[in-house]
Amino acid sequence: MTQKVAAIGVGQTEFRKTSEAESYPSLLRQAAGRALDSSGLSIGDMDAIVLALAPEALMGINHAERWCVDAVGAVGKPLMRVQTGGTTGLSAVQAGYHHIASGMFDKVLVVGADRVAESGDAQQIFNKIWDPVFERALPLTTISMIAMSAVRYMHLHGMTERQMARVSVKNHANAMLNPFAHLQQRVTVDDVLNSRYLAWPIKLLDACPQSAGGCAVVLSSERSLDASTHVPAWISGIALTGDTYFIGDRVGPKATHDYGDAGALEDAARKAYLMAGIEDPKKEIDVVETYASFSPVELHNVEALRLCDNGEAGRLFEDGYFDLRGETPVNPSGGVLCSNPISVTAMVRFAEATLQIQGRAGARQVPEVGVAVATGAGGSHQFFNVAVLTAEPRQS
Amino acid sequence: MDGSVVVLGGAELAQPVIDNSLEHAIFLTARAALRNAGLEISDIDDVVIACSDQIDGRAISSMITSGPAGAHLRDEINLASSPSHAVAMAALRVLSGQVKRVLVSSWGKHSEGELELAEHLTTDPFFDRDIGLSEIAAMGMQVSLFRSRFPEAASASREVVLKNRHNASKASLRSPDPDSDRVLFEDEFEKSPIVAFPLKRIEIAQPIDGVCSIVIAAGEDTIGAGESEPIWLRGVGWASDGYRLGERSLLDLPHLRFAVSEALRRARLRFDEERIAFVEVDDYCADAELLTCQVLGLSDNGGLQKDIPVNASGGYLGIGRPAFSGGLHRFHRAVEALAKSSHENQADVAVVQSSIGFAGQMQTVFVLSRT
Amino acid sequence: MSQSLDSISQHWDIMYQHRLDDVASEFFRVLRDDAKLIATRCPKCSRVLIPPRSFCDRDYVETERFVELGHEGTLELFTVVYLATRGLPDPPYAIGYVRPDGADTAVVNFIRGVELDSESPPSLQVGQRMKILFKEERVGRVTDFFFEPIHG
Repeated sequence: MTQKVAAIGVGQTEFRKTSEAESYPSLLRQAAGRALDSSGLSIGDMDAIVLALAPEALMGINHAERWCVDAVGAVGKPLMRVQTGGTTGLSAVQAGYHHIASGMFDKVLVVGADRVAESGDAQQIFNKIWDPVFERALPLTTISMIAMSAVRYMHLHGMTERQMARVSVKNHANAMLNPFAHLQQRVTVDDVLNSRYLAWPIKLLDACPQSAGGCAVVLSSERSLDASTHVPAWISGIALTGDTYFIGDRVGPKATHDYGDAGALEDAARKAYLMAGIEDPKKEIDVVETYASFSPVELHNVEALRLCDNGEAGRLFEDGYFDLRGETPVNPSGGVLCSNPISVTAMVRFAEATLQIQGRAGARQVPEVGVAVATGAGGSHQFFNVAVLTAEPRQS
Repeated sequence: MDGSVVVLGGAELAQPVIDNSLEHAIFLTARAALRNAGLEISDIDDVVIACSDQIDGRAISSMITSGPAGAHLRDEINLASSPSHAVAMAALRVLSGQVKRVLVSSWGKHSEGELELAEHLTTDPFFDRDIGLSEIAAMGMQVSLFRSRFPEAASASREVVLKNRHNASKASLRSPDPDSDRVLFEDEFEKSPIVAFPLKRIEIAQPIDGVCSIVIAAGEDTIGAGESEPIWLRGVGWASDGYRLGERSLLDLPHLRFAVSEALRRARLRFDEERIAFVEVDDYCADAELLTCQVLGLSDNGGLQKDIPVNASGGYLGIGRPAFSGGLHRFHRAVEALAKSSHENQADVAVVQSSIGFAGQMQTVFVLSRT
Repeated sequence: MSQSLDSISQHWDIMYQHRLDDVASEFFRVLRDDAKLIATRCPKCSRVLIPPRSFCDRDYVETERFVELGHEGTLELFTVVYLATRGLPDPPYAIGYVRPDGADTAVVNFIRGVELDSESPPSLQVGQRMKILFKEERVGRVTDFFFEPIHG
């Protein structure tokens, strides 16, 4: 029978430019140490460790899980490493979840770090994710990939660049309240609209930074919790759905999901909501940390998560519905737009959602959070995962 | 383990060069595994893979390979540390009770890339990379230590190579001729150059291309009229040693001891029980088989032990070492061998050990049984 | 020159030879020799797939060969890139996915014949008709063809 799993502590390092950050093992150790401290446990209490590490080409050591066993406290212990592109951080949490849900382990440390831009420019590496036979000869990058999705969303739902900018304004303002956020600068809609184009319609201030930093989460089984544990955040639902790799298959009348929408995210959310017993996301979800490396992505994400209907998101963002003090705060941390340490970016979403449940989110705390949702995205905007965290354990 | 996990069937391709695209080879193998398990892709809940981006030549290899691995609109995870971890994760998912059938795949086309270079890039750039620390150099260091402690290992390792080649011939139904094979072998052995003292090339398993897929499922739910008899995964244990060779106990392998004891504990078995029919271990080089048997308690002086068949499949030395995916191939072959073994035999358990990383840095042990 | 004591440079230089399956090989041969695009069809969902694949990932079955595609298509996705990245062409350039007539999926390539000026939005629209043009000198790689808007 499924063991219930809760996140009982999280740790993050202050995300910053790679050239100003500490070494990779050091970031791992710091993040792990902070997570252990926040859970009131030590490394000796951990039964197993899961490492989140996305493309190693970013930080420059192949299969770095072998190199950093010591840094994550895993010498002599069970250690696995997860790599699912941008979804890695949350897939690693899911792997940790299954360690415990299986009944085989009680305490698992999930940890990761990144030094994006160690290679100078991550986009050089992102050109190598594409199919070498048919697509690598084209200069595809994650920026152009999302730009095309934004163009499609505009075509389907009439999004404006002003609405994209409004998302960016919200996130930058929220990041000012988050001591871990990489980008800490207030921006206005005009600032965003006047910033230079990277790939139309995405401009510099619509885009995430290339960050370095670490993140860790301590997961516990229900049976091994003790009374002194500070507000466990129960993982009531967690799921991933991967769409077809081929972006070209996600257009036209025979597409299962249109590339302008985030159909696979909607599918993953449906699975996670079902596990968690969420029937009316608009009403039941108190706060969302969603993976959007570029501002237009937040629009189709909130629709896929069924926080509003398709095509409504732009107007709602403009109305402040998703602001920190709005109806359903989205990315109170400042989101990926303000910190993107790729291997752990999706874990940071989970960690922030945990902090919201635990009441430990400081100035960015949303009041009375009973249900928090965290999402990840990766691949050719292809993989999407969703976790539903609740303040009370739920029957599965 | 509380709860039952079965292996319903599997398939593999293992050749010096797989003459097909990576994607098509994965599709054919995964689909063959489904057929052997008596299933359609629609019967599969989750997909678990293990692949290495720098062997595949794609920065996120799981993107393009997700379709061939059967993951379209499914939950997919890549345990890029080891194919054995992928098997363990599939088992964890089934044990959680949330998932019934998992398609597990792993691969590595050595012929498409530069494997030694990719392995070299796993080393610490500050202290090790300039020193030419390759996987083979690490093997050489471990083996020179082993043979200095156990001099008998030098001659025993020669026997391991011959035995495993012999077993590979038998497994592929070629009729080996022990006498003439021996003569040819001695000659080849003498001529084989030392590549990393004291290891001769012939004592090191040569990399080949490989793709392997298996289906892991919940025991109570063994549907389908598969060709293969379901085999039970009774126990699993895994652990990692530190990175620095100079700080590791390369002969004692405490992490392997822990992995074995955890696997046996979960399977509720002791190693000396008469139920153990055979053992399959990681022969990345001949001495590795000897060393592992030592740690498992099958021998005590670095020599060959004869009580339980070791690597009756031929191991890597007999067939070649599929790049990255070797551990899954070994697991699959052990499952097949157990399924084919005689029901009259009391011994119905197999122990399977695989490692990855220099000098067996990460170890996984599985306990399989026919009932 | 003395070594920096703050950092170490590393260069990853791994050569790969990616084996094509027979469908891809044939696609490139026809592209090079005949200046045509061919696709495969899934016998179950009937989708005509480009890039042509040996199997359909939805239905998990082998595809049927081959369907010849038209030399015009519908623009489904596009962007204009203004950001320079080491190893990629100098910006600005336009790329997009066009669904050739006869196909159910779209394929990516460069879009030529468009004004590229970062002051105004690109004069391209999702849904517009495009020509598929082939280079004079072809080598059997996707860059042997490209897209242009159909004017008028």
